[in-house]
Amino acid sequence: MSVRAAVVRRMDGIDSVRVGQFLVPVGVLVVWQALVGVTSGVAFAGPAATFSALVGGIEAGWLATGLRRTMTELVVAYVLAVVAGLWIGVALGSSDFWSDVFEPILIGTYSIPKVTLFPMFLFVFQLGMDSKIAFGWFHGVFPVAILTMSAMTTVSDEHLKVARSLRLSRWQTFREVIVPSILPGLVIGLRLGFNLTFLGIVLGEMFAAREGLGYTLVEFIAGGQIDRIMAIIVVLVAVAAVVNVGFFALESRLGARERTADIRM
Amino acid sequence: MLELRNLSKTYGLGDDRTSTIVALDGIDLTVEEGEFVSIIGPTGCGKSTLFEVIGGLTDATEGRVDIDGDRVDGPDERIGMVFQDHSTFPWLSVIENVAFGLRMNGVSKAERRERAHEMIDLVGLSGFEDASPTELSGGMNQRVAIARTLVMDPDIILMDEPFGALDEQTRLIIGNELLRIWRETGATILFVTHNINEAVQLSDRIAVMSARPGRFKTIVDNDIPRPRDDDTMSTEAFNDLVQRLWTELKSESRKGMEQQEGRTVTAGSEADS
Amino acid sequence: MSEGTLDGATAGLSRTTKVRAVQAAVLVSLVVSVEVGPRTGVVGRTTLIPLSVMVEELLGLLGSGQLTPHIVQTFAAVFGAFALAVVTGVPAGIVLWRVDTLKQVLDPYLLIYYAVPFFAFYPLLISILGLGIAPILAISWGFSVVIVVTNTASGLAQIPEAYTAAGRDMNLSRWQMLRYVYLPASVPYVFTGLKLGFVYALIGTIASEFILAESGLGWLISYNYNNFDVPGMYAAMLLVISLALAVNTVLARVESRLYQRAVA
Repeated sequence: MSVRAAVVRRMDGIDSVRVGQFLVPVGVLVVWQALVGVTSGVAFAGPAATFSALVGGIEAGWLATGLRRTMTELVVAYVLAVVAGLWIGVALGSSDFWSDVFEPILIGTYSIPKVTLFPMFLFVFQLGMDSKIAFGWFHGVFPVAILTMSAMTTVSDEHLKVARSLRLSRWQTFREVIVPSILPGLVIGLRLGFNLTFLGIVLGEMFAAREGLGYTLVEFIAGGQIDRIMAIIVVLVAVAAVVNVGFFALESRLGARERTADIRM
Repeated sequence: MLELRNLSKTYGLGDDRTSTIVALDGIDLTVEEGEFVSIIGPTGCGKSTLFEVIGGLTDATEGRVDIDGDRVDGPDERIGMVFQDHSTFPWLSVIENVAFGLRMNGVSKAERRERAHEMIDLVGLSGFEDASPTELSGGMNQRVAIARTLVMDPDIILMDEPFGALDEQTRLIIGNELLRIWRETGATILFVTHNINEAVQLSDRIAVMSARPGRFKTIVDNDIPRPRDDDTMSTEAFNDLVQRLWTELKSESRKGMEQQEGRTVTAGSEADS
Repeated sequence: MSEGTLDGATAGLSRTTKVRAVQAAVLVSLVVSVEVGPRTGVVGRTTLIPLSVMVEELLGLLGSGQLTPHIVQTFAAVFGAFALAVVTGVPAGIVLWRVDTLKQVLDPYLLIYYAVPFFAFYPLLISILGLGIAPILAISWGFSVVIVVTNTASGLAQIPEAYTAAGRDMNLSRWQMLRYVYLPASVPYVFTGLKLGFVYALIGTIASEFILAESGLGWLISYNYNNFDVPGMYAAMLLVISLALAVNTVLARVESRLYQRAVA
């Protein structure tokens, strides 16, 4: 009986959590709507105005154009950051000595406000897409490299010996032994790398660009088009949410140990 | 035929490599085809170094390893290695583990399946093909590791304390299984262990290693008739041989322990610094 | 002690020394290349200026007092946002730790919080609050507060059962439990949250100033960039990066001291 009661209570608990989780976005919408009343007179846009700006932006095409630009930069920068970060992480992580040498250096560089360095990217890559891609890459490569490097310590020596005794090539060892071993830690690095790359791209566009959602955001400040600003924010949040939910699903399937929210520019 | 000739291995210590540890010193041994030879020795005597040198994972400082007169230089397809434990890949199923080496060497899917199934049958794991190694006991995992090595059809199988992490009962059972597999496949096995009973239960000959620097102190023929079963282990001949090996080993074990203690102190001071 | 012992000790010591030496070599070569690269023309002087010129410029600007208002502005924003984050974040963390259902409800949202390119909200805040320190405070607070909340909550959750049992044995009141058991026991973990919160507040402030502002060190970098004042830009950059590294180093030191004490 008591077991049954406990189970029932637990089911109730789960249900109330589920309901609560569902209610959070609803609550955000309600507060958002309420703010419209409070801020009457001040420049502000409620959910309805934002939604119509969103639809209007899609119909007019400026939203799609900006999104396409931002996404192109994001994908290119992210792929490059993953390739480079993996390579650096595996190369340094294969040796205890070199990981000891570079770990504090990487973490130190990771923790400075990278945004201050953006002018250097502009000097080298000019105002076009390249500078944003390079800047996004610069943001994303650190978490991928750092988490790959620390995941490399989980690769078992026995497994590497098995690989050598079976005469695997370097590539086979990487693909068949190292990658599966580091995968749980690696996906966390991939997620943080994505988030930071995204942040870097948007920051870069906000500061100096002629296209992209970040650029459009700053453009609309001057015109006071707050509904459009909020429409862009909704799109950016949606992209981040969808990608991250995908990563979370992957992480729990792979049994990643900790879900860290730590993120630094 | 596996021949070890004057194998020596020296490790350098410190930055300038002026101080050295002699792990192996002039190891000579010939293992005939189909023979089962065990190497026993105290902890830290260089057994595992010898295992890695023969398997081509570590280069010898001096001497050579030959198979049928042909030099072994690096990991060799004629040699299969079975490691201590935790060597199965937890991200692959049992059958994928067993077929792993075949897949890496470009064997077709159909042939992989067939040969892997055969080996899984041989080691007594039928029905567990799709299980994950994480669901299996230590003994079953070592069967997977043995099958993964056997499937490559090596001329010589090297085993480095493959049952070291198992409890005594499991060790006895899987030891008998190994003898059956050895009989059925006609493989040549070189078996490293620190367990005297295990060596006597399994092998045709037993090489006793000295404490560092590792040398063969003596090589003893094991004439106890086969097939050997659980009853064999209570016979006088068995116990005599165990006793004789223990006498050979005792002084070396003491020396080995003293060396170990020296090293433990070293490790402590390293952690302090 | 045998001879082997001494060997081992020196081998261990020399490895740490070696790591330090190589680290120093990497950093020195980085510094040297920033100095020598532009001097020898390997890197154009319009892209990068020698480190010594940056330092000289920075010292000149600091001496003339030109930087003072920007330093004051940035520090005010960083400390203001951080103080707000502590005042709101620590109590929120305590509530989250106490009310488990609330924590479970908010967990997925807290995790996804930092996934959003946060500075996208900055133009919105400017539109609402106008240009000035207010939107910067708001965005830096928002960027910093959640890491304080989550670390406070998880830090309190990590307190060993034995401590709370001992506290209950002594019949401590709820407030006494919080004051004498929970808070002291969770200090190192909560401090990690505060450390990250401070770093985030710093990043939030610099980045907002950099995008759009009227003053501040971040603004100075972008202003000098836009006005082709390369030495002035690099001087401000050097100041910000040095500050960030110094803050990180000091906070990390304090943190490791706290963890050592917690273990001992």
